Amino acid sequence: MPHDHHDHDDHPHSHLPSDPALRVRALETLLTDKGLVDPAALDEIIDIYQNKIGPQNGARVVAKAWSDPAFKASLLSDADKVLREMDLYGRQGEHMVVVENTAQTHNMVVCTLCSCYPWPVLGIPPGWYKSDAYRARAVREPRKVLADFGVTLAEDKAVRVWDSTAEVRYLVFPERPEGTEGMDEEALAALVTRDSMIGTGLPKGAA
Amino acid sequence: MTRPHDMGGRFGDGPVQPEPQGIAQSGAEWHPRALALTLAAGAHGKWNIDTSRHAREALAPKDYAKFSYYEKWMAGLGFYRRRALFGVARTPGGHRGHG
Repeated sequence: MPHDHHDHDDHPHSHLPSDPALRVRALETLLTDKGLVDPAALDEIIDIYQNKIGPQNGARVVAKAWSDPAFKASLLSDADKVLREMDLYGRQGEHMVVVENTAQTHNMVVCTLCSCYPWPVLGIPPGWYKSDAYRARAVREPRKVLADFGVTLAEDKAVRVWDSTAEVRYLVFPERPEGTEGMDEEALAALVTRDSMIGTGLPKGAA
Repeated sequence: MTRPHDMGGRFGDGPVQPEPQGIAQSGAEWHPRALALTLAAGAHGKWNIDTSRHAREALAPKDYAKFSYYEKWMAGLGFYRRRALFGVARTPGGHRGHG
């Protein structure tokens, strides 16, 4: 390639277009040409994360745990085992910890260093989860961040913030809303929002 | 030494902007491509979560602050490409790779 000499100077981006969309295309071409990336794999990955893996997976887990005390106990004590059995295990979710919201404690998840997130149960993180504002503020003023989401908790309820790592990913197990006693798992799953499993929201119907 | 990615507790950031529930939507058309390219590059076992984190965290502070999320990813992947082609561990900031 004619521009390879640039790779040895201190301006490593100078050989790629500054426009990000063009840079992605250029990198794709370069990596494909060198056999480092299989182009067929790209479309499949995009399809999986745009259409198949998302918070509906986690909602299914939460609804089942709301309905089945033994399942809930297993989930809270060994999430990896339970999620593996449900085929909700894999990349960016190899070591999962489920943290339970109670009347006394509200849990909230952040990744201050990066954007670590439990992909198999929640999919790709939303933009705000990856934002500097969330990463910086969630650990310093979680109640103010919750207010950005329109969530106000009782003052005597403790807020516990979990900082994710490359290895350990957290899923919040929200409180089951009152008045949902007769609902089946499918109806319950529809109440479980993505943000309620990150801890920046509450399930639909929750006070 | 504190690096720019270590931003937990930092002051000066504005409000968090919530988004609709459900599967997170892409901010731009090229974002899913950038994501897929980054994941697919892992197929050879030389580019993984640790190397990719290192590549992004080793960005020059001014680039880390300036780049959008997936721009950081692409800069990191550029690091991988250079290393894969030349066998030299140079970080995106132009320094020899170290933690």
